Amino acid sequence: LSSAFRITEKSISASVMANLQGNLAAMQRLQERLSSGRQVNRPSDSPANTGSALQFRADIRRAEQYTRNADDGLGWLGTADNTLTSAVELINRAHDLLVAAGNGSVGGPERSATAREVDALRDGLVGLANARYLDRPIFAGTAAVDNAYASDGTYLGNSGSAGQMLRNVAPGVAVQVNVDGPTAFGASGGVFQALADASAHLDANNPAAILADLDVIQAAGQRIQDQLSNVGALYNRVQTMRDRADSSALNLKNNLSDVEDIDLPKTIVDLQLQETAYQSALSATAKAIQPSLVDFLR
Amino acid sequence: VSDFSGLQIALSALYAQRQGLETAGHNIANANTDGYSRQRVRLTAAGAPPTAALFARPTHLGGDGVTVAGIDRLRDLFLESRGLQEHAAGAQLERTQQVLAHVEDVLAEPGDNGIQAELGNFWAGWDDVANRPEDGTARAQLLQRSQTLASHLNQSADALLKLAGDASDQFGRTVEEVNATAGRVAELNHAIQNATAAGLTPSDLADQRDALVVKLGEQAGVTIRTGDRGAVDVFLGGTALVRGDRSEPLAVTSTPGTLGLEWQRNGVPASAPSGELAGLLDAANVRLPGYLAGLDRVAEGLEVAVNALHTQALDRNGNPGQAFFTHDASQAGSPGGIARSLAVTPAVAADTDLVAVRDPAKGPLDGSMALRIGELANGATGTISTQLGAAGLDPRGPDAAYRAFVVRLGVDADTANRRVSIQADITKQVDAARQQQSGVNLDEEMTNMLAFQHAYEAAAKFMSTIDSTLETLVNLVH
Repeated sequence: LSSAFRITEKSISASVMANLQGNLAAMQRLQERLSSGRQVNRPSDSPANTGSALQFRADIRRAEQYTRNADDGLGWLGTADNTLTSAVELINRAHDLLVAAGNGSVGGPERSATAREVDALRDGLVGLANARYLDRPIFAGTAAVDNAYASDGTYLGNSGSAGQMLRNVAPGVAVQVNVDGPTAFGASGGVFQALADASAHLDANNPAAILADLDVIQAAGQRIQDQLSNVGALYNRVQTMRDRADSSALNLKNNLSDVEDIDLPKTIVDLQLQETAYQSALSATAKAIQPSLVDFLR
Repeated sequence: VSDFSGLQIALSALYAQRQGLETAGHNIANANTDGYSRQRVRLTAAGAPPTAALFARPTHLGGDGVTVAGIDRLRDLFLESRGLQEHAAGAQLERTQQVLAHVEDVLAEPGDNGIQAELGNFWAGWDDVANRPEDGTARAQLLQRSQTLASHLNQSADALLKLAGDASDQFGRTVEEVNATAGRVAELNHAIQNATAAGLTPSDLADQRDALVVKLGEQAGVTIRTGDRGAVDVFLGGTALVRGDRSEPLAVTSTPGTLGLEWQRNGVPASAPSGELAGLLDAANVRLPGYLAGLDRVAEGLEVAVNALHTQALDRNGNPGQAFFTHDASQAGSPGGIARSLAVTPAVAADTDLVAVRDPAKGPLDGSMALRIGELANGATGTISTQLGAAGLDPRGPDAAYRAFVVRLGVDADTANRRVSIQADITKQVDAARQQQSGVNLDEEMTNMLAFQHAYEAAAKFMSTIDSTLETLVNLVH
């Protein structure tokens, strides 16, 4: 049996070489990780982590896009919010004027002066209803028109589901970011017609009709007010979605780093251990190969 | 007994011990020669007749000295066969490992420059168009990203096809090498048979031949059997590649897409059970076409899903959307054909107005179809998913199909890496066992040298002793 365990110089040097090579290869792997900063450099490094890394990367890109979409939506909603706030102020002003003008003690010339003021308010309201964001009238829905309302108060845009503008703000969640023109300002005519009527009744010096107009204008103001709170709610919702997308992008980046990046202190310690192992292998090799019978013969 | 037979005995001893010394020297000289098997002098005592002859008289009681019966080559055929087999398996696995590593290089995943990242940008481009359907720059950016994605898929498929082509070329070159090596083995067999017939022991020729046989094993996974008069017969899957002094050349058959092997003489199909040829064949016929088909499914899934929504939408001119992506139908049958030729439909690529994102039920500035296309990033749902499933594609959408494809590649490559390192351990053990049997140990050779040297000195002393006894005898005559 002793002959079965013959050891030869060549087999010693072959196994020494193989071991040194193994040591060196391990060191190279660690150095590659350390210099690239990543523990998954190719799919075979860890197929499961590769799958997660791909998924995280796609999700991060998506979350960043949701943030962009929400920012865009916030722009639209912010413009709508400002515009509707101003519109409510205008309506309140018109309401106050009409209450004052409806008073029986007010004379005809004063009513005519109020009529001019109401006309100006009406023009201002048409201007507000034609407010633009990124050069698009925000109350015109998806119609390709220059203005949402003509100067005579005719609605030029589209409304209902055809006019809905949606933004993707979360997986499977699309939020409306525009306000339907007719819902806020009434269909063709609407609040504009009411103001025009009031102006005509002022000119005609007809207090009874003016008081009747007050109710119509109050109702119109209420519609705008409703839309304003609706926009506020939407704004908050999109803002929340945006924050959520932001924080989920951050979380996903942490997750990606967990599966893809190296643990720096651990890798450095591993590399030092590997270097020590390599050096001791080298010195052991130098000792093991030296002695032979040749050294002891004359 | 002759008076001089003592001198004969001394002479035979001097010859034999010299031979022993020379053999030790030869062994030491070849201690580091690859494929060298150590040699040993087989000595037999001379002169003792096997059976006593009739009328033999008991005058000659001792022997006639020593003869060199031969020089043995210490080599274990069983271990050599094991070695061949394990080296062949190792060579095959290494080939596979190399090919898979190349495929991984082509895909460059996971990373910021892979197809996954391009897909992410592509979907995000649709959202940007949905946010501003009236804006030409958003549309132009989307078209740019779509073309980048398509050409990335094209290049990846081209690179994989080139790998398959390289594997075929290398297969051809290896077959030529196998033929040349087999021819050389046959020549050496012939020389060995002649030498054996002349009563010689051609150990070193046999070593040369065995080294070539090991090479054949790595290349084609051959098996061996001992043949006539010291020859070795080499078999490839049961059929003789080398028999005695004749070798049988192989040829490459290549019907499109399938590489194969046949015997040149009669065109009968041959097969390499393992070795480099088996690895290359596996790469060119199975692995690479498989990955190309995987890439095709990703490209086709992208095309089907995006086109399904794009054709439902209206473009800026109010016309129904054309197909957004297209591929060369004439290439669709071959592996990688779709991924190689996927492109944005030329008319759409040339005109941003033809990117269709408007829901027909909505106004001209609507972008809700783009929203739906952008949401494909999170996976296909509903009718799109059904449509993908019906086309035999991944119903979860192109992203999921791509991820599954990369993970499969990772698992394959990881498996190959593990198998290579396991096989390397096995090969190392078998090689160590072979080396145990046939390697040169310098201490052992030094010991043998000492033994032969002392025996030589003693034989010389014996000769001078016989000489002096003869001298005494001759001097008696005076």
